[in-house]
Amino acid sequence: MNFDHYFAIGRAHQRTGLPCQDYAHGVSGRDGNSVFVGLSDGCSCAGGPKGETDIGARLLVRAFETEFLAQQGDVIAAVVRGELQKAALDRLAAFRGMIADDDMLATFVGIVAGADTVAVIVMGDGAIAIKERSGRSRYIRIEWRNSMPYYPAYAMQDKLWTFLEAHEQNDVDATPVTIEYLTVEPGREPESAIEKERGASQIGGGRIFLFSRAEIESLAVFSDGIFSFVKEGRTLPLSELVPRFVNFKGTVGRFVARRAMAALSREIDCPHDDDFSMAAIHFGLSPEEPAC
Amino acid sequence: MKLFNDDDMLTRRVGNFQFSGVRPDKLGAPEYTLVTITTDETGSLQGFESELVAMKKAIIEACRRDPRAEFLMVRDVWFAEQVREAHGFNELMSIDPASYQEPTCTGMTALYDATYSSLAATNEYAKTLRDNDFNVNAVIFVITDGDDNQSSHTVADIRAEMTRGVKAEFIESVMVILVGINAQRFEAKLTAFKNDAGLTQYVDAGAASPQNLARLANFVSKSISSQSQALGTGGPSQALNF
Repeated sequence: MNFDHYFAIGRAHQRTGLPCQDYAHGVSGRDGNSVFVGLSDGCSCAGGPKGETDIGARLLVRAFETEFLAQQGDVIAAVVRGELQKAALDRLAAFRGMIADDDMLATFVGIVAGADTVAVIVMGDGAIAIKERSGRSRYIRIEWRNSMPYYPAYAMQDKLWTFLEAHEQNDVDATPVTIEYLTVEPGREPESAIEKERGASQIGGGRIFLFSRAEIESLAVFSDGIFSFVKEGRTLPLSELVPRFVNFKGTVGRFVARRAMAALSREIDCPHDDDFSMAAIHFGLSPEEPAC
Repeated sequence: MKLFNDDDMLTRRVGNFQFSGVRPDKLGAPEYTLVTITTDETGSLQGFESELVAMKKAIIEACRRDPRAEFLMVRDVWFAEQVREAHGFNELMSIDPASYQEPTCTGMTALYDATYSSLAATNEYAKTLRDNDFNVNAVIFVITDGDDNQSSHTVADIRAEMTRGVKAEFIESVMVILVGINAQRFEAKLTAFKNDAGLTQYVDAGAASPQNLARLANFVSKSISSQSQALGTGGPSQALNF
Protein backbone atom coordinates (compact mmCIF):
# COMPACT_ATOMS: atom_id res chain seq x y z
CA MET A 1 0.00 0.00 0.00
CA ASN A 2 1.52 3.32 -1.08
CA PHE A 3 0.27 6.84 -0.68
CA ASP A 4 1.17 10.30 -1.89
CA HIS A 5 -0.27 13.73 -2.50
CA TYR A 6 0.02 16.83 -4.66
CA PHE A 7 -1.11 20.45 -4.50
CA ALA A 8 -0.55 23.46 -6.73
CA ILE A 9 -1.60 27.07 -7.04
CA GLY A 10 -4.36 27.92 -9.49
CA ARG A 11 -4.32 30.59 -12.16
CA ALA A 12 -6.61 32.95 -10.23
CA HIS A 13 -4.33 33.13 -7.20
CA GLN A 14 -1.23 33.39 -9.38
CA ARG A 15 -2.74 36.43 -11.07
CA THR A 16 -3.72 38.12 -7.81
CA GLY A 17 -0.56 37.35 -5.87
CA LEU A 18 -2.25 35.13 -3.31
CA PRO A 19 -0.59 31.93 -2.11
CA CYS A 20 -1.88 28.45 -2.80
CA GLN A 21 -4.63 27.84 -0.28
CA ASP A 22 -4.83 24.12 -0.96
CA TYR A 23 -2.70 21.68 1.00
CA ALA A 24 -2.33 17.91 1.06
CA HIS A 25 -0.28 15.45 3.05
CA GLY A 26 -0.25 11.88 4.29
CA VAL A 27 1.29 9.56 6.84
CA SER A 28 1.58 5.87 7.52
CA GLY A 29 0.02 4.57 10.73
CA ARG A 30 2.16 3.27 13.57
CA ASP A 31 0.71 -0.22 13.12
CA GLY A 32 2.25 -0.46 9.64
CA ASN A 33 -1.08 -1.37 8.08
CA SER A 34 -3.05 1.87 8.16
CA VAL A 35 -2.66 5.12 6.27
CA PHE A 36 -4.01 8.64 6.43
CA VAL A 37 -4.00 11.09 3.55
CA GLY A 38 -5.88 14.36 3.57
CA LEU A 39 -6.30 17.67 1.82
CA SER A 40 -7.74 21.01 2.69
CA ASP A 41 -8.90 23.99 0.64
CA GLY A 42 -8.80 27.36 2.37
CA CYS A 43 -11.63 29.80 1.78
CA SER A 44 -10.62 32.40 -0.82
CA CYS A 45 -12.87 35.09 0.63
CA ALA A 46 -12.19 34.76 4.35
CA GLY A 47 -10.28 37.67 5.80
CA GLY A 48 -10.29 39.63 2.56
CA PRO A 49 -7.02 40.28 0.70
CA LYS A 50 -5.03 39.76 3.91
CA GLY A 51 -6.59 36.41 4.64
CA GLU A 52 -4.27 33.51 5.38
CA THR A 53 -6.43 30.44 5.00
CA ASP A 54 -3.39 28.73 3.50
CA ILE A 55 -2.17 28.47 7.09
CA GLY A 56 -5.54 27.19 8.29
CA ALA A 57 -5.60 24.57 5.54
CA ARG A 58 -2.20 23.25 6.58
CA LEU A 59 -3.08 23.22 10.26
CA LEU A 60 -6.33 21.36 9.59
CA VAL A 61 -4.64 18.55 7.63
CA ARG A 62 -1.84 18.27 10.20
CA ALA A 63 -4.38 18.25 13.04
CA PHE A 64 -6.12 15.28 11.48
CA GLU A 65 -2.79 13.61 10.84
CA THR A 66 -1.67 14.08 14.43
CA GLU A 67 -4.89 12.65 15.82
CA PHE A 68 -4.75 9.73 13.37
CA LEU A 69 -1.30 8.84 14.66
CA ALA A 70 -2.50 9.17 18.24
CA GLN A 71 -5.42 6.79 17.76
CA GLN A 72 -5.35 3.58 19.74
CA GLY A 73 -7.47 0.69 18.52
CA ASP A 74 -9.88 0.70 15.60
CA VAL A 75 -9.31 3.95 13.74
CA ILE A 76 -12.21 3.34 11.35
CA ALA A 77 -14.59 3.00 14.28
CA ALA A 78 -13.22 6.29 15.60
CA VAL A 79 -14.01 7.90 12.24
CA VAL A 80 -17.53 6.48 12.12
CA ARG A 81 -18.20 7.71 15.67
CA GLY A 82 -16.80 11.13 14.76
CA GLU A 83 -14.14 10.89 17.46
CA LEU A 84 -11.18 11.42 15.11
CA GLN A 85 -12.85 14.46 13.59
CA LYS A 86 -13.68 15.99 16.97
CA ALA A 87 -10.15 15.41 18.23
CA ALA A 88 -8.71 17.04 15.10
CA LEU A 89 -10.94 20.10 15.47
CA ASP A 90 -10.08 20.37 19.16
CA ARG A 91 -6.41 20.36 18.16
CA LEU A 92 -7.07 23.04 15.54
CA ALA A 93 -8.93 25.12 18.13
CA ALA A 94 -5.73 25.31 20.18
CA PHE A 95 -4.39 27.69 17.55
CA ARG A 96 -7.14 30.25 18.09
CA GLY A 97 -5.48 33.52 18.97
CA MET A 98 -2.35 32.59 17.02
CA ILE A 99 -4.19 32.88 13.73
CA ALA A 100 -7.44 34.69 12.99
CA ASP A 101 -10.62 32.66 13.19
CA ASP A 102 -11.33 33.45 9.55
CA ASP A 103 -8.00 31.89 8.57
CA MET A 104 -9.23 28.54 9.84
CA LEU A 105 -12.07 28.43 7.35
CA ALA A 106 -11.03 25.55 5.09
CA THR A 107 -12.59 22.36 3.81
CA PHE A 108 -11.26 18.92 4.60
CA VAL A 109 -11.34 15.71 2.57
CA GLY A 110 -9.39 12.75 3.85
CA ILE A 111 -8.92 9.01 3.49
CA VAL A 112 -8.31 6.76 6.46
CA ALA A 113 -7.34 3.23 5.47
CA GLY A 114 -7.71 0.56 8.15
CA ALA A 115 -7.03 -3.14 8.01
CA ASP A 116 -10.25 -4.03 6.18
CA THR A 117 -12.18 -0.81 5.65
CA VAL A 118 -11.34 2.50 4.05
CA ALA A 119 -13.18 5.62 5.17
CA VAL A 120 -13.40 8.89 3.27
CA ILE A 121 -14.32 11.94 5.34
CA VAL A 122 -15.78 14.94 3.50
CA MET A 123 -16.16 18.22 5.36
CA GLY A 124 -16.94 20.67 2.57
CA ASP A 125 -16.69 19.92 -1.12
CA GLY A 126 -14.52 17.96 -3.51
CA ALA A 127 -14.42 14.67 -5.36
CA ILE A 128 -13.61 11.05 -4.72
CA ALA A 129 -12.31 8.56 -7.30
CA ILE A 130 -12.47 4.85 -6.60
CA LYS A 131 -10.75 2.36 -8.89
CA GLU A 132 -11.99 -1.11 -8.10
CA ARG A 133 -10.10 -4.34 -8.67
CA SER A 134 -13.03 -5.44 -10.82
CA GLY A 135 -12.10 -2.77 -13.38
CA ARG A 136 -14.98 -0.50 -12.48
CA SER A 137 -14.33 3.14 -11.60
CA ARG A 138 -16.60 5.32 -9.51
CA TYR A 139 -16.49 9.08 -9.12
CA ILE A 140 -18.32 10.99 -6.42
CA ARG A 141 -18.74 14.75 -6.70
CA ILE A 142 -19.77 16.72 -3.62
CA GLU A 143 -20.81 20.33 -4.09
CA TRP A 144 -22.61 22.95 -2.06
CA ARG A 145 -25.04 25.43 -3.49
CA ASN A 146 -23.30 28.58 -4.78
CA SER A 147 -19.97 26.84 -4.09
CA MET A 148 -20.19 27.89 -0.46
CA PRO A 149 -19.31 24.81 1.55
CA TYR A 150 -19.66 24.25 5.25
CA TYR A 151 -16.24 24.60 6.87
CA PRO A 152 -15.48 22.37 9.86
CA ALA A 153 -14.04 25.34 11.77
CA TYR A 154 -17.55 26.77 12.03
CA ALA A 155 -18.11 24.17 14.71
CA MET A 156 -15.62 25.84 17.05
CA GLN A 157 -16.44 29.42 16.24
CA ASP A 158 -19.47 31.59 16.48
CA LYS A 159 -19.38 31.81 12.71
CA LEU A 160 -22.30 29.66 11.81
CA TRP A 161 -24.46 32.75 11.36
CA THR A 162 -22.18 33.95 8.52
CA PHE A 163 -22.58 30.66 6.75
CA LEU A 164 -26.33 30.73 7.14
CA GLU A 165 -26.50 34.36 6.05
CA ALA A 166 -24.45 33.58 2.94
CA HIS A 167 -26.83 30.80 2.08
CA GLU A 168 -29.85 32.96 2.97
CA GLN A 169 -31.08 30.26 5.27
CA ASN A 170 -32.08 30.10 8.88
CA ASP A 171 -31.08 26.53 9.28
CA VAL A 172 -27.93 24.82 8.06
CA ASP A 173 -29.98 21.69 7.66
CA ALA A 174 -31.81 23.38 4.82
CA THR A 175 -28.73 24.19 2.76
CA PRO A 176 -28.43 21.64 0.02
CA VAL A 177 -25.40 19.52 -0.76
CA THR A 178 -25.43 17.85 -4.14
CA ILE A 179 -23.73 14.50 -4.46
CA GLU A 180 -23.30 13.07 -7.93
CA TYR A 181 -22.30 9.44 -8.39
CA LEU A 182 -20.78 8.34 -11.66
CA THR A 183 -19.96 4.71 -12.42
CA VAL A 184 -17.72 3.83 -15.35
CA GLU A 185 -17.32 0.23 -16.38
CA PRO A 186 -15.42 -1.02 -19.47
CA GLY A 187 -17.81 -1.92 -22.24
CA ARG A 188 -20.80 -0.23 -20.62
CA GLU A 189 -22.32 3.24 -20.78
CA PRO A 190 -21.43 5.37 -17.74
CA GLU A 191 -24.19 5.58 -15.14
CA SER A 192 -24.92 8.75 -13.23
CA ALA A 193 -27.07 9.34 -10.17
CA ILE A 194 -27.61 12.60 -8.29
CA GLU A 195 -28.64 12.94 -4.68
CA LYS A 196 -29.47 16.02 -2.72
CA GLU A 197 -28.59 15.90 0.93
CA ARG A 198 -29.25 18.26 3.75
CA GLY A 199 -26.33 20.31 4.97
CA ALA A 200 -26.63 18.68 8.34
CA SER A 201 -25.08 15.56 6.85
CA GLN A 202 -21.70 17.23 7.24
CA ILE A 203 -22.11 18.81 10.65
CA GLY A 204 -20.15 16.99 13.33
CA GLY A 205 -18.11 14.22 11.78
CA GLY A 206 -18.61 15.17 8.15
CA ARG A 207 -20.04 13.04 5.40
CA ILE A 208 -18.43 9.60 5.59
CA PHE A 209 -18.11 7.08 2.77
CA LEU A 210 -16.97 3.53 3.59
CA PHE A 211 -15.34 1.05 1.23
CA SER A 212 -14.00 -2.47 1.47
CA ARG A 213 -10.22 -2.35 1.18
CA ALA A 214 -10.06 -5.75 -0.52
CA GLU A 215 -12.19 -4.49 -3.42
CA ILE A 216 -10.20 -1.34 -4.18
CA GLU A 217 -7.06 -0.89 -6.23
CA SER A 218 -6.74 2.84 -5.56
CA LEU A 219 -8.68 5.64 -3.96
CA ALA A 220 -8.08 9.33 -4.60
CA VAL A 221 -9.63 12.51 -3.23
CA PHE A 222 -9.61 15.96 -4.81
CA SER A 223 -10.38 19.48 -3.73
CA ASP A 224 -12.91 21.46 -5.74
CA GLY A 225 -10.00 22.61 -7.87
CA ILE A 226 -10.83 19.54 -9.96
CA PHE A 227 -13.99 21.40 -11.02
CA SER A 228 -12.06 24.44 -12.27
CA PHE A 229 -10.59 23.21 -15.53
CA VAL A 230 -12.36 25.30 -18.16
CA LYS A 231 -11.48 24.95 -21.81
CA GLU A 232 -13.12 27.17 -24.42
CA GLY A 233 -15.97 27.96 -22.06
CA ARG A 234 -16.60 24.31 -21.18
CA THR A 235 -15.86 22.96 -17.72
CA LEU A 236 -14.08 19.65 -18.18
CA PRO A 237 -16.10 16.86 -16.52
CA LEU A 238 -14.76 14.46 -13.91
CA SER A 239 -15.09 11.54 -16.29
CA GLU A 240 -12.63 13.24 -18.62
CA LEU A 241 -10.21 14.57 -16.00
CA VAL A 242 -9.97 12.05 -13.20
CA PRO A 243 -8.62 9.12 -15.25
CA ARG A 244 -5.64 11.33 -16.17
CA PHE A 245 -4.82 11.84 -12.51
CA VAL A 246 -5.25 8.26 -11.33
CA ASN A 247 -3.58 6.43 -14.20
CA PHE A 248 -0.48 5.92 -12.05
CA LYS A 249 2.71 4.74 -13.76
CA GLY A 250 4.25 3.00 -10.80
CA THR A 251 3.38 3.53 -7.17
CA VAL A 252 6.70 4.28 -5.51
CA GLY A 253 7.64 7.55 -3.84
CA ARG A 254 5.99 10.68 -5.26
CA PHE A 255 3.79 8.71 -7.67
CA VAL A 256 0.76 10.99 -7.26
CA ALA A 257 2.86 14.12 -7.79
CA ARG A 258 4.49 12.60 -10.88
CA ARG A 259 1.16 11.65 -12.43
CA ALA A 260 -0.43 14.98 -11.56
CA MET A 261 2.43 16.98 -13.05
CA ALA A 262 2.51 14.82 -16.17
CA ALA A 263 -1.25 15.17 -16.59
CA LEU A 264 -1.18 18.93 -16.04
CA SER A 265 1.82 19.66 -18.24
CA ARG A 266 1.36 17.18 -21.06
CA GLU A 267 -2.16 15.80 -21.24
CA ILE A 268 -4.78 18.28 -20.03
CA ASP A 269 -4.80 21.12 -22.44
CA CYS A 270 -5.88 23.85 -20.02
CA PRO A 271 -4.81 25.14 -16.60
CA HIS A 272 -6.90 24.96 -13.43
CA ASP A 273 -8.28 28.29 -12.36
CA ASP A 274 -8.67 27.36 -8.69
CA ASP A 275 -5.96 25.90 -6.45
CA PHE A 276 -5.79 22.16 -6.94
CA SER A 277 -4.97 19.34 -4.55
CA MET A 278 -5.27 15.60 -4.50
CA ALA A 279 -4.22 12.72 -2.30
CA ALA A 280 -4.37 9.03 -3.04
CA ILE A 281 -3.71 5.59 -1.69
CA HIS A 282 -2.78 2.71 -3.96
CA PHE A 283 -3.59 -0.58 -2.32
CA GLY A 284 -1.25 -2.70 -4.42
CA LEU A 285 -1.78 -5.32 -7.01
CA SER A 286 -3.01 -7.72 -4.35
CA PRO A 287 -5.15 -6.94 -1.31
CA GLU A 288 -2.53 -8.40 1.04
CA GLU A 289 0.23 -5.90 0.23
CA PRO A 290 1.30 -4.11 3.43
CA ALA A 291 1.55 -0.39 3.88
CA CYS A 292 4.77 1.36 2.86
CA MET B 1 32.74 -6.01 -6.43
CA LYS B 2 29.19 -5.16 -7.46
CA LEU B 3 28.28 -1.59 -6.79
CA PHE B 4 24.54 -1.94 -7.06
CA ASN B 5 21.75 -4.51 -6.82
CA ASP B 6 21.15 -6.06 -10.26
CA ASP B 7 17.48 -6.65 -9.46
CA ASP B 8 16.92 -2.91 -9.31
CA MET B 9 18.63 -2.19 -12.63
CA LEU B 10 17.54 -2.34 -16.23
CA THR B 11 20.02 -2.83 -19.04
CA ARG B 12 19.52 -1.59 -22.59
CA ARG B 13 21.48 -1.59 -25.81
CA VAL B 14 21.79 1.49 -27.96
CA GLY B 15 23.52 0.56 -31.20
CA ASN B 16 26.84 -1.02 -30.25
CA PHE B 17 26.71 0.29 -26.68
CA GLN B 18 25.05 -0.94 -23.54
CA PHE B 19 24.00 1.03 -20.53
CA SER B 20 22.18 0.40 -17.28
CA GLY B 21 19.97 2.42 -14.98
CA VAL B 22 17.70 1.98 -12.01
CA ARG B 23 14.29 0.63 -12.97
CA PRO B 24 11.65 3.39 -12.91
CA ASP B 25 9.49 1.44 -10.46
CA LYS B 26 12.33 1.72 -7.94
CA LEU B 27 12.60 5.52 -8.18
CA GLY B 28 10.80 7.84 -5.78
CA ALA B 29 11.34 11.46 -6.84
CA PRO B 30 9.06 13.26 -9.31
CA GLU B 31 11.95 14.41 -11.52
CA TYR B 32 15.62 13.81 -12.16
CA THR B 33 18.68 15.40 -13.74
CA LEU B 34 20.68 12.64 -15.44
CA VAL B 35 24.41 13.25 -15.01
CA THR B 36 27.07 11.37 -16.97
CA ILE B 37 30.76 11.79 -16.25
CA THR B 38 32.70 10.30 -19.17
CA THR B 39 36.43 10.34 -18.60
CA ASP B 40 39.40 9.55 -20.78
CA GLU B 41 41.53 6.59 -19.63
CA THR B 42 43.84 6.46 -22.63
CA GLY B 43 47.55 5.76 -22.49
CA SER B 44 48.49 9.46 -22.49
CA LEU B 45 46.92 9.83 -19.06
CA GLN B 46 49.12 7.18 -17.43
CA GLY B 47 50.37 8.52 -14.13
CA PHE B 48 47.19 10.53 -13.49
CA GLU B 49 44.94 7.65 -12.48
CA SER B 50 44.63 8.60 -8.81
CA GLU B 51 44.00 12.26 -9.65
CA LEU B 52 41.23 11.34 -12.08
CA VAL B 53 39.39 9.11 -9.66
CA ALA B 54 39.90 11.66 -6.87
CA MET B 55 38.22 14.21 -9.14
CA LYS B 56 35.21 11.92 -9.65
CA LYS B 57 34.93 11.27 -5.93
CA ALA B 58 35.05 14.99 -5.25
CA ILE B 59 32.23 15.59 -7.74
CA ILE B 60 30.02 12.99 -6.05
CA GLU B 61 30.76 14.31 -2.59
CA ALA B 62 30.05 17.90 -3.60
CA CYS B 63 26.78 16.95 -5.29
CA ARG B 64 25.65 15.06 -2.19
CA ARG B 65 25.69 18.39 -0.33
CA ASP B 66 23.49 20.06 -2.94
CA PRO B 67 19.92 20.94 -1.84
CA ARG B 68 18.68 19.06 -4.89
CA ALA B 69 20.80 15.98 -4.31
CA GLU B 70 17.77 13.69 -4.22
CA PHE B 71 16.89 14.73 -7.76
CA LEU B 72 20.22 13.69 -9.28
CA MET B 73 21.16 10.43 -10.96
CA VAL B 74 24.76 9.76 -11.98
CA ARG B 75 26.37 7.41 -14.51
CA ASP B 76 30.15 6.88 -14.45
CA VAL B 77 31.87 6.07 -17.75
CA TRP B 78 35.49 5.65 -18.85
CA PHE B 79 36.76 5.45 -22.41
CA ALA B 80 39.84 4.63 -24.40
CA GLU B 81 39.32 2.51 -27.54
CA GLN B 82 36.21 1.10 -25.92
CA VAL B 83 33.57 2.81 -23.84
CA ARG B 84 33.27 1.27 -20.36
CA GLU B 85 30.42 1.86 -17.92
CA ALA B 86 31.73 1.75 -14.35
CA HIS B 87 28.21 2.12 -13.04
CA GLY B 88 24.86 2.98 -14.65
CA PHE B 89 22.35 5.67 -13.81
CA ASN B 90 21.86 5.57 -10.06
CA GLU B 91 20.37 7.96 -7.57
CA LEU B 92 23.19 10.10 -6.28
CA MET B 93 22.50 9.34 -2.64
CA SER B 94 22.92 5.61 -3.26
CA ILE B 95 26.42 6.06 -4.69
CA ASP B 96 29.36 5.49 -2.37
CA PRO B 97 32.31 7.44 -3.80
CA ALA B 98 34.70 5.29 -1.77
CA SER B 99 33.85 2.44 -4.12
CA TYR B 100 35.24 4.28 -7.16
CA GLN B 101 38.38 2.60 -8.46
CA GLU B 102 41.34 3.91 -10.38
CA PRO B 103 41.30 3.24 -14.12
CA THR B 104 44.02 1.53 -16.07
CA CYS B 105 45.11 4.17 -18.54
CA THR B 106 46.01 2.60 -21.86
CA GLY B 107 44.94 2.68 -25.49
CA MET B 108 43.67 5.10 -28.12
CA THR B 109 40.99 7.80 -27.96
CA ALA B 110 37.47 6.96 -29.12
CA LEU B 111 36.24 10.44 -28.17
CA TYR B 112 33.33 10.54 -30.63
CA ASP B 113 32.10 7.09 -29.61
CA ALA B 114 32.29 8.08 -25.95
CA THR B 115 30.35 11.29 -26.56
CA TYR B 116 27.79 9.64 -28.80
CA SER B 117 27.19 6.67 -26.51
CA SER B 118 26.82 8.93 -23.46
CA LEU B 119 24.23 11.00 -25.31
CA ALA B 120 22.40 8.00 -26.71
CA ALA B 121 22.24 6.27 -23.33
CA THR B 122 20.99 9.45 -21.74
CA ASN B 123 18.28 9.89 -24.35
CA GLU B 124 17.20 6.28 -24.10
CA TYR B 125 17.02 6.27 -20.31
CA ALA B 126 15.29 9.66 -20.31
CA LYS B 127 12.60 8.26 -22.58
CA THR B 128 12.09 5.32 -20.24
CA LEU B 129 11.70 7.68 -17.30
CA ARG B 130 9.45 10.02 -19.22
CA ASP B 131 7.18 7.13 -20.19
CA ASN B 132 6.82 6.58 -16.45
CA ASP B 133 5.86 10.21 -15.75
CA PHE B 134 9.24 11.46 -14.58
CA ASN B 135 10.35 14.90 -15.73
CA VAL B 136 13.96 14.75 -16.93
CA ASN B 137 16.87 16.86 -18.07
CA ALA B 138 20.54 15.98 -18.42
CA VAL B 139 24.12 17.16 -18.30
CA ILE B 140 27.04 15.16 -19.70
CA PHE B 141 30.71 15.87 -19.07
CA VAL B 142 33.21 14.42 -21.52
CA ILE B 143 36.72 14.83 -20.12
CA THR B 144 39.61 14.17 -22.49
CA ASP B 145 43.25 14.93 -23.05
CA GLY B 146 43.22 14.42 -26.81
CA ASP B 147 41.43 14.44 -30.10
CA ASP B 148 39.56 11.49 -31.54
CA ASN B 149 41.55 8.84 -33.35
CA GLN B 150 39.53 5.65 -32.96
CA SER B 151 35.76 6.11 -33.25
CA SER B 152 33.15 4.53 -35.49
CA HIS B 153 30.61 7.27 -34.84
CA THR B 154 30.91 10.67 -36.49
CA VAL B 155 30.48 14.26 -35.47
CA ALA B 156 27.24 14.31 -37.50
CA ASP B 157 25.92 11.39 -35.43
CA ILE B 158 26.61 13.34 -32.26
CA ARG B 159 25.00 16.49 -33.59
CA ALA B 160 21.80 14.58 -34.42
CA GLU B 161 21.74 12.87 -31.02
CA MET B 162 22.16 16.23 -29.23
CA THR B 163 18.70 17.36 -30.28
CA ARG B 164 16.83 14.07 -30.76
CA GLY B 165 15.49 13.78 -27.25
CA VAL B 166 14.50 17.42 -26.89
CA LYS B 167 12.73 17.44 -30.26
CA ALA B 168 10.83 14.28 -29.30
CA GLU B 169 9.98 15.98 -25.98
CA PHE B 170 11.08 13.16 -23.73
CA ILE B 171 13.89 15.19 -22.23
CA GLU B 172 13.56 18.84 -21.31
CA SER B 173 17.15 19.84 -22.14
CA VAL B 174 20.59 18.30 -22.59
CA MET B 175 23.91 19.99 -21.92
CA VAL B 176 27.17 18.41 -23.09
CA ILE B 177 30.28 19.99 -21.69
CA LEU B 178 33.56 18.95 -23.31
CA VAL B 179 36.52 19.36 -20.99
CA GLY B 180 40.15 19.30 -22.01
CA ILE B 181 42.82 18.35 -19.50
CA ASN B 182 46.50 18.35 -20.52
CA ALA B 183 44.95 19.25 -23.88
CA GLN B 184 46.31 22.67 -24.77
CA ARG B 185 47.79 21.41 -28.06
CA PHE B 186 44.38 20.09 -29.08
CA GLU B 187 42.44 23.19 -28.15
CA ALA B 188 41.66 24.17 -31.75
CA LYS B 189 40.46 20.66 -32.67
CA LEU B 190 38.42 20.22 -29.52
CA THR B 191 36.85 23.64 -30.00
CA ALA B 192 36.00 22.68 -33.59
CA PHE B 193 34.52 19.38 -32.35
CA LYS B 194 32.39 21.26 -29.83
CA ASN B 195 31.12 23.65 -32.54
CA ASP B 196 30.58 21.06 -35.26
CA ALA B 197 28.77 18.62 -32.96
CA GLY B 198 26.63 21.34 -31.39
CA LEU B 199 27.93 20.65 -27.90
CA THR B 200 27.10 23.17 -25.19
CA GLN B 201 30.53 24.26 -24.03
CA TYR B 202 34.25 23.54 -24.27
CA VAL B 203 36.33 24.11 -21.16
CA ASP B 204 40.12 24.00 -21.08
CA ALA B 205 40.88 22.80 -17.56
CA GLY B 206 44.63 23.10 -18.01
CA ALA B 207 47.10 20.56 -16.70
CA ALA B 208 45.94 17.42 -14.91
CA SER B 209 47.29 18.60 -11.58
CA PRO B 210 45.51 17.90 -8.31
CA GLN B 211 44.70 21.60 -7.98
CA ASN B 212 43.24 21.92 -11.48
CA LEU B 213 41.28 18.71 -11.13
CA ALA B 214 39.88 19.89 -7.80
CA ARG B 215 38.89 23.13 -9.52
CA LEU B 216 37.33 21.06 -12.31
CA ALA B 217 35.38 18.98 -9.78
CA ASN B 218 34.03 22.20 -8.30
CA PHE B 219 33.02 23.46 -11.76
CA VAL B 220 31.35 20.17 -12.64
CA SER B 221 29.34 19.99 -9.41
CA LYS B 222 28.21 23.63 -9.79
CA SER B 223 27.18 22.98 -13.40
CA ILE B 224 25.20 19.94 -12.26
CA SER B 225 23.48 21.99 -9.58
CA SER B 226 22.64 24.72 -12.06
CA GLN B 227 21.15 22.29 -14.58
CA SER B 228 19.16 20.59 -11.83
CA GLN B 229 17.68 23.92 -10.76
CA ALA B 230 16.70 24.56 -14.38
CA LEU B 231 14.55 21.41 -14.49
CA GLY B 232 10.95 22.44 -15.01
CA THR B 233 11.79 25.76 -16.65
CA GLY B 234 11.60 24.38 -20.17
CA GLY B 235 15.24 24.94 -21.07
CA PRO B 236 18.82 24.36 -19.98
CA SER B 237 20.71 26.34 -17.40
CA GLN B 238 23.25 28.96 -18.37
CA ALA B 239 26.71 27.53 -18.98
CA LEU B 240 29.02 28.50 -16.13
CA ASN B 241 32.47 30.01 -16.45
CA PHE B 242 35.31 27.72 -15.48
